[in-house]
Amino acid sequence: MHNSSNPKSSIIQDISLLYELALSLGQTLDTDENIRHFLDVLWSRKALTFASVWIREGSNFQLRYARPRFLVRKTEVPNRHPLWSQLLSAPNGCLSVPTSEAGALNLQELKNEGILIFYRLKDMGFVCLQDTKRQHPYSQTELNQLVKVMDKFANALVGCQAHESLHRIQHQIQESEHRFRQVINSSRDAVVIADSSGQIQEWNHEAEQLFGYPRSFAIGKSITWLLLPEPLSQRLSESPGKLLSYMERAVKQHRRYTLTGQHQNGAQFPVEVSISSFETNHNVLFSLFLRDITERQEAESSLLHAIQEAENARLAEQQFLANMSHEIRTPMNSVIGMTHLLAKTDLNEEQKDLLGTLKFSADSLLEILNNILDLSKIEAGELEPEEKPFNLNALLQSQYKTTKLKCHNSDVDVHLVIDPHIRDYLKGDRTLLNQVLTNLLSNSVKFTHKGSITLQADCVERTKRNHTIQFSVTDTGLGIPPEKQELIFKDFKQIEDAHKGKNVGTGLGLAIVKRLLSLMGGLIALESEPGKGSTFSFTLTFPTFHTDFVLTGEPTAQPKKMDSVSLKGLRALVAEDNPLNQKLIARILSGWGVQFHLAENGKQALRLAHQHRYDFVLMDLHMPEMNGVDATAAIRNSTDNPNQNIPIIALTAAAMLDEKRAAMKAGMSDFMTKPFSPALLKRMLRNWISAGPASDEKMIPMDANPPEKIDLSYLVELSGGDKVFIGEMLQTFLGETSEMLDNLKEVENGDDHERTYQVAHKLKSSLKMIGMERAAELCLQIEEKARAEQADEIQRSNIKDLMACVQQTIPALEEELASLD
Amino acid sequence: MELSPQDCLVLLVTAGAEPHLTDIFGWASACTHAFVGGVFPGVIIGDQTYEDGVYLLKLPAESEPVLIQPEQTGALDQLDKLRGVASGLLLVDGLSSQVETMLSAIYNDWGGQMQVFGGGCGSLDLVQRPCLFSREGIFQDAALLLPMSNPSGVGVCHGWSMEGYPLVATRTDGNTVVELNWRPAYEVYMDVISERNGGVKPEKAFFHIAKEYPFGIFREGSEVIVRDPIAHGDKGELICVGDVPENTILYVLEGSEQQLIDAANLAAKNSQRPSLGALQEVFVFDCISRYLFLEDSFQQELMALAKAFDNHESKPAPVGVLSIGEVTSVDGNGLSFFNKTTVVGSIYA
Repeated sequence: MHNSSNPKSSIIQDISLLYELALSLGQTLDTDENIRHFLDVLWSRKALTFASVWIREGSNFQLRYARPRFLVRKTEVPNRHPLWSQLLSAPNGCLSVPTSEAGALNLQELKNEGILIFYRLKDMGFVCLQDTKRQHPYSQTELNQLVKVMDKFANALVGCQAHESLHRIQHQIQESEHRFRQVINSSRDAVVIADSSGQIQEWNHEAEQLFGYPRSFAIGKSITWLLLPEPLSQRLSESPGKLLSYMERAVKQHRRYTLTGQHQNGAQFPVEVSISSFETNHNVLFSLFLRDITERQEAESSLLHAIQEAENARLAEQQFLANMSHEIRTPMNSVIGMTHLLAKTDLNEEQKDLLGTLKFSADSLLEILNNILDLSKIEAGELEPEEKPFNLNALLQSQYKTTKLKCHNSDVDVHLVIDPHIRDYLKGDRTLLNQVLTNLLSNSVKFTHKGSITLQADCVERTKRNHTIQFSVTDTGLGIPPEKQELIFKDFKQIEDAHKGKNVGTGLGLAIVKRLLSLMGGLIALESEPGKGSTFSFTLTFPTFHTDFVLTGEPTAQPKKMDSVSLKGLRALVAEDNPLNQKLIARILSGWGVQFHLAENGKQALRLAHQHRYDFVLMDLHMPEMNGVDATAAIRNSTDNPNQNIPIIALTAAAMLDEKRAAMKAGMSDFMTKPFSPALLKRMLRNWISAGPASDEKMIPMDANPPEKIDLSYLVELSGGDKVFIGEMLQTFLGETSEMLDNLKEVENGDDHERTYQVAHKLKSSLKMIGMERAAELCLQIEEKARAEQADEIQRSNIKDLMACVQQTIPALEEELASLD
Repeated sequence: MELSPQDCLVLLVTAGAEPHLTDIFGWASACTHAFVGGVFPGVIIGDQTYEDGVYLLKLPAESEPVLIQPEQTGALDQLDKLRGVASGLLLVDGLSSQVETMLSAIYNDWGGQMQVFGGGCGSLDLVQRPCLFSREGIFQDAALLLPMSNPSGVGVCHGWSMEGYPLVATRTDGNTVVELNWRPAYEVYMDVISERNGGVKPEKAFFHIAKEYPFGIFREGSEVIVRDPIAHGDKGELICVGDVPENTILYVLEGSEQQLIDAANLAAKNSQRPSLGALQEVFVFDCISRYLFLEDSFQQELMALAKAFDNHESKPAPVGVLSIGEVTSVDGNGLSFFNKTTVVGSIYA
């Protein structure tokens, strides 16, 4: 190892090398630095050609440092390399071989000069050296001189690696803490971490902003004192367990709480807090995420206000439409009725012409009104197509007749063509289909002045289950230019009638058609040529209604069962506040042989339902004290109510979808819109009732005197069968009944002969119009008595009878009116 | 002087011409040829030394000189491009504290691919100033390597011998030896010299004492590396030319005039590689401290050096510099920075 001839110097040089090597270690705790220091000294002091250190990493030894680098050819050798096994068996873990004989041990393919020397660094790796000054390998004695310093080197590396590992972990912890802090500081919520005693452990930037305390101040303080105002902070602080249980409960419930927070400056604000917990070093910590929700609450409040206002506006609009329906249509009916009556009187040509104009204007106005109402309903989403059996043939015939009637004074022929493959009875929404056809035909009538209008129904496809029918309305009218064909289906758009030189109608008719068809799953198509005419067509699919029953009786969903079901002897509860409706229902039920109790509001109905057992309930929705929906819910939810599970049918004038939904949700069985057809109600009840009478309990007996029948033949004759006109007249009469009854009440003792005469006289013509001859006769008798100034018992009795008669007429008229729809 | 396109101008600026360094650089920059230059305490031509003026010679260059700076690893990337180049003339800032770093980096990455020889630039006042230049500028704390396609042989020898017992440099800081044997370095060093001087402390100024008693860094099986102590500090530290590794073994060397002259001759002989072809140039880096030690006898060293080439037909007159430290690789053990040494580079055609 030395070449000095002086043994004394030689030993000093050897020791000094060991000294220098030993001191090169441990100058730092960095593995690479230690390797570099050690190897540089060794390489320089021993004037080596090459020196390298290899450290085990996984299944390989990696070259960690080499000097000089330009001799490096390989940086990795496998653990199973023969060198390692040789080192494991070599004395003291070191060996030396001539480079020329090294074979696989010459890892770097070094020049075949000098010798290679290897030292094992315990289990972690080895040192590889080349000395080109030497021709012969080191003796074991020479090798042994460096064994201990190599062990020390290995130990130093183990220490360094342990330190680095520790340092890495510390760094990772620091990184983790840094990330944690960044995460909580980047949170847009105030994040406060507290231990189970409520002492603050962490406080982010947003918390500083929200509560006004710097982090340095907040850490270690109690969250109750720092975040919450009196008296909540006082209450939570009184019992240390209270806060803990509060936080634990909040964690379990997984929900956000709203508390009042307090800023350092004393300002209080609503704060939303959610709490989660986590465990660290066997301690439970709570993370509180806090957010000032002042703005949100204000926004929510504004939103609620806006929603309320919008709802109010919607209700107002609905109310307005309902009012318009009643307040405008009723006088309009009178106007139209009066024009009909006036037309029957002797008029000169000019008067006839004026009257014609007046009728046209009134009809137009009513149509406009109806269209606007229809469109509003569609817009509000309140129209829901029904699927009920109806007679298509009858509907088409009715449309045909109406159209023909409208055209009877013009040069227009009306045709109806029905495909014989179409069955009479189908399931669908008769009302909507009727309206579509009415609008299309009205449109044709308006714009066709010569030629024909054809209503046609063709069966496009017929299966066991469905009928697909194409409807078309073809006219030889004005026709529509191609560029306007899209336009006419838009709201308030219409083409000009060159014939009349002006626009006709509201421009809503076809827009309504398009929307109604869309509701029913159909599309309107138009083929038109200006001057030649137009064809409007659409195709709808209807489920087929299979039963022979409908041919002889009323259609029903469960005909066989229904057949055996009779309503006679059933017991009912009727909840209805309107006296007229009470009477109508009373009359209908009595006619069916149904016994019933009458309740004027929901509360009363509920009480009766607790006391008696019924077979069904007819429940009005709008009643004082308690409405029908609440009463129904109460019946359904009460297990001791004997009527908990019986059918409850909603009866309401309101055809709004919302109400229907609310009623169904409350547990109502079905829904009947007023004015309703007794036949429909009967079918509905049969659907729901299959058992016999509820009990033999005594019910309130009904006045079974049948009211006088009404006879509309006069009106039919007068209007040529115009159902609309008849309906309007009936509505007008009904609208006046209240006044009539008031007037009769006013003269019921007969003393005011003149007034009695006027009242009876006025009433007589109205009663005659609807064919109530017996009542009209009573009027005549009263008239005569009044004229004779006789206020006797007979007169008073007649007046009383007349009042009863008028009153009893109302339900009959309403039923008649309903059957016209 | 006739120049071929491959020739590079080598400008040897003496201490006397150093004040005109900027003008010299300006003049060289106006040339179309590549150039490299440095400031040295003196220039050697044949057996004469010159301490004034600027001396030009041409060397066959493979490419422009490569600049190496301690912080610029880019320079080493350039070296990578030079693989296959036969020889390299290296000029380094001899007073830089980064000499070892630069040499280590050059050798470690690029290694013994080419035969490198060279020496340190600087002034005898030992104050570090910009002392190297090429077309890229004037530099200090840097090295310039001139790659040459011609092969060369290098001889290195100093003639100083290890005497007495070894000392341990227990505390050093770069080129400053703070402690020897755990005592102030100056104190220990002067004790050794007094001992060698019959127990009498020499009366001479430190610089003149030190030039006779340099340090030698021991390397197993190889020539010791000489370190010149050139000054001592207030705290008893010794400042050397070139780094002294901490904890290394140091010997206080001694040398006679004849030993040094013989060593120069030996270096010249060792540089010769007849198998490489016809000798074209002989470039000598002879340490300024040898010049100061040998004084009037220095010419004999130069003559002894030239004599080594007597057997060559061309009898080339060695040219070179009085350098502040010398550089070459010995026994394939990296580039070493020597002091008080003669490095001879024989460049073949």
